[in-house]
Amino acid sequence: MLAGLRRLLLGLILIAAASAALVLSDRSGQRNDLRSPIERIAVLQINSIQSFEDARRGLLEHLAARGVSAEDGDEIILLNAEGDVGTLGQMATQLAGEDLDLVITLSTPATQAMIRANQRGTPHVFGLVASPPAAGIPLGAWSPESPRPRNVAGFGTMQPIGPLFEALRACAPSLRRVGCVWNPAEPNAEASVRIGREVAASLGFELLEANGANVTEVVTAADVLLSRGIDAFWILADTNVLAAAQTVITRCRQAGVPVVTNFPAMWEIGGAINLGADYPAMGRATGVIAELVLRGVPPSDVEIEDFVPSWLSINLDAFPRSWRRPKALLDSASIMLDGAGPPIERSIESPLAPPSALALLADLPPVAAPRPARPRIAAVTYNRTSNFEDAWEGFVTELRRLGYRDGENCELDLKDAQLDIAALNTIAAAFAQDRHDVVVPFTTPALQAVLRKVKDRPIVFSLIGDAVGAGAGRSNEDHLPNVTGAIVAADWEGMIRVLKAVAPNVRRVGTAFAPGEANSVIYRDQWRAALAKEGIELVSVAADRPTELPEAIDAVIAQGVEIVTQISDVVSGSGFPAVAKAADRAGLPVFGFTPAAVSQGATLAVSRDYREVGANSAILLDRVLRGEDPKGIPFMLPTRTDLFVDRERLEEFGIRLTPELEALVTQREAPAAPTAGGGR
Amino acid sequence: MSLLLATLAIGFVFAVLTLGVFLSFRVYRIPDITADGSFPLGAAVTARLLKEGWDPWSATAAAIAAGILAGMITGSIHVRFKINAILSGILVMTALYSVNLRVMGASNLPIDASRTVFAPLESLSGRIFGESVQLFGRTVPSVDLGMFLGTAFAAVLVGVALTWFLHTELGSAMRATGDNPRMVRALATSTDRMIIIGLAASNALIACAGSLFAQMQSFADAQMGIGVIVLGLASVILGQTLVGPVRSIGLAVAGAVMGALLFRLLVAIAIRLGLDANDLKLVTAVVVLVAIVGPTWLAARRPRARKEAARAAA
Repeated sequence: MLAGLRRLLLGLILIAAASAALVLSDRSGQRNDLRSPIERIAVLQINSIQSFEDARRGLLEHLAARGVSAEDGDEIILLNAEGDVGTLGQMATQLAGEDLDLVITLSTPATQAMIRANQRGTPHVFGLVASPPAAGIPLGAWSPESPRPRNVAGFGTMQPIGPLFEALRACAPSLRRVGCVWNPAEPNAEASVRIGREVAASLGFELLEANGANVTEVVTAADVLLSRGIDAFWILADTNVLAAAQTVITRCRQAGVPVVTNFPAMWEIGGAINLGADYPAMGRATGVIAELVLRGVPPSDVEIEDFVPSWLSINLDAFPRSWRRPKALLDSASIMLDGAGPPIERSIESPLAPPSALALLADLPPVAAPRPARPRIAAVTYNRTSNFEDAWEGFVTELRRLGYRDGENCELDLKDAQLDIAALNTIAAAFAQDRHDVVVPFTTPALQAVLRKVKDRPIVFSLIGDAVGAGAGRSNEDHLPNVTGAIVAADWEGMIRVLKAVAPNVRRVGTAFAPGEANSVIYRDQWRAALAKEGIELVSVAADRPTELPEAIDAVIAQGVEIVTQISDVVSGSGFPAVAKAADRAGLPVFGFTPAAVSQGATLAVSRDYREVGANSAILLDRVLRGEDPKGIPFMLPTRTDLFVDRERLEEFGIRLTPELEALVTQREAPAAPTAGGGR
Repeated sequence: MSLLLATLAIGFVFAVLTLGVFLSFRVYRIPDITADGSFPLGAAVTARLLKEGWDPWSATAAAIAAGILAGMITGSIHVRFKINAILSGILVMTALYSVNLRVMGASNLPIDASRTVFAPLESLSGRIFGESVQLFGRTVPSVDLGMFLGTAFAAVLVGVALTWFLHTELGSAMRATGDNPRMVRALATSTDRMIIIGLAASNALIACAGSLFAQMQSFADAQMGIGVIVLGLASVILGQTLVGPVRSIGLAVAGAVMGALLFRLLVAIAIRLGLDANDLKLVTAVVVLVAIVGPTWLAARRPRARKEAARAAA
């Protein structure tokens, strides 16, 4: 007895060890419960001057407040050309080539460079563009005639030049000449200067201009102006002038010339009257428009408006003694420096974004529950067939398009039971234990195994011919509460339209089918029922292996069919050339239901693409991860149908396409067969 | 933890299958390929009868009866027409594929989980333990525990019954048929009859396993039998390796059960390793190989074992 037990000891120890290993691998409860959306965004700016940095900070703050930030798992690419226009162009080209959800450009040159480079139409939001019309983007709503690309949205941030000059005139009534430096290559600066000229003329003073195309030239130009005698210097929105602002102000003050600016932050470096944009607020306003686009508002819906959240700062220390200090002006300043004491600060409220953008924002539904950070997606298939590979490709591609990146912001785990039914159940049990966010079964047995094990979280199936028959519900609308998914269905009506157009008198068609494949049997039955309504008979013969196809098709043909309409299943998927060959021998055309059929010897194919089924399940998966209840999502049927034809064979069989059919022929080339070999 | 329980539950059901294969392979030295057809046959019969409104126990019994029939056909083809046992199995297995499709009327039939032989145990477990149980500090759904206990009971019951059966007069005759057919014939017992009975019993167990498995996973599928005989043989041989060369029937049976359990556990570990989806079977094979070779290799390195080996050699 004891010796017997010792015999069992090794087995018992191994079983205990394996069990312990499995229990230790139970990582449930280690889930990260942070939730947030996943986006891939780039921000392109021309240089690092303070106002741009402020705007970018405001922009990122707004996006972060809406759950879009690197911490939330989103990818935010920050690019800065550091003043180099060549680099700017390269960066724009690089961004245009990437797969991004949104590009945000700050400043006019960055915006123009991006519009030029953006061939593929990545959504693009711009900010800090003083004059969109000067940059080629007319104000107002988008229209087809507008030169504004339809993927671009933003707003104009023309500096408050009139109010600044009025304030200047109020402080210095005897003012005669004001100097400014600008770069003719910068549309922003040019637009500012144009306004400045008009306002100056109306207020009765002269605007002396000098050009400077880089920081050194700006300083030289300022020196020239100072030597010509000016009463004040105006720093306008010109990137080079901004970069040289500190030097310019120092030079002016040394010459006893006060400086007024359109940059409120410049009170600190000696600007006397500084009325201008609130850059963090402009960044936030840019963020609002970015938010609109990220939440699905087409950029072309956004009206381009001028919107400048502005504020005033006054540095009385920089005022010449001759200047007046009007009380109304001083009271409207947010910051005022007077003497050695700390600056006086007042908060003055302004709206968040341009009115039309705010209206669009108000129209949006409340923010959908964001996706979990790093969602864990568990996929399982009973085996890998050509249909599975197509559906899987569509699934993964669509997931990528939706912003999911395996290993970066999501975990996508595929298990293949490799036809081992017990392994399939173990995989389902592992998924049930592992606290994945959602389980995606491909193939009917995988769905059924998962249905049995996974009750407490969503299941989004794919590649299922008859989910109701598999036990997932009573109908495509009334189903188990945690289940939804994408169904495969051929376009029977589409094929019947084609049949009636090219062979109006056809009475009998045939197909081989695979009795062991759930989907194949369902297809055969559906096709038979659809044909019966038109009074056409379907002859079907079983073939469970590709090698059995030639005999099956011969048997079908022997029963007097006029056309072989081969339904799509795994067996005929790998053995389609055999089907075509057998039909060829008998001089009959083959109509297929898969995109690859035509390249494998079919005369035409009315095809639904399994890739679409995979993509559909990815779309449903995304909705479920965003918090939608699977219970309310009906099983999704494919919608897109392609008509592929082989012109040579059409002619051979004397088949004429009607003009209506001709219009439906899919122009793109039919995808090549996954396996080698044509039909002839 | 629930993965462990689910894996062990699958292991126990496969232990029933393994005992069936044990009977044909260890007792008669016939690797009976009928298993690939009789396993899904049991599932198909059960699924169809449950759909027709039969109660689960009768449906399971009918599945066993269908298995007996399948085994008898294989045995008869083998002994009456003197056809090689492997070919007989292939013929019946091939035929059963169509039979299974006919039985189900489709290639796949779902089963209502609330109407299986496990359902009473699952609900009893739910009543006793509530929604979930704490086991080794981990939360386990009580239905998993019920399923585990149910399958364990079934496997032990079948194991004990088989041990008892092989000790009966008939069982002894069957074993003798496998070991020394000439002696059996000399004792005026028909070896042909013994082979037919043996294969019938073997396939009864395999169909029973198929039935239990279908009820466990709530569906039957025409393709679920693929490779079942290989899994059964692997478990039998794994079990044989575990217990070593033994004369006791009880130990051999226990070895087969342990082999099935260990095999499923190793597959589960291979699944948990999180490797590329395509590598599952390769990893399974390697893990099983390591499990078989590892302990023997370790034992051979122990000094005492070496000394004993040296003494034996001397």
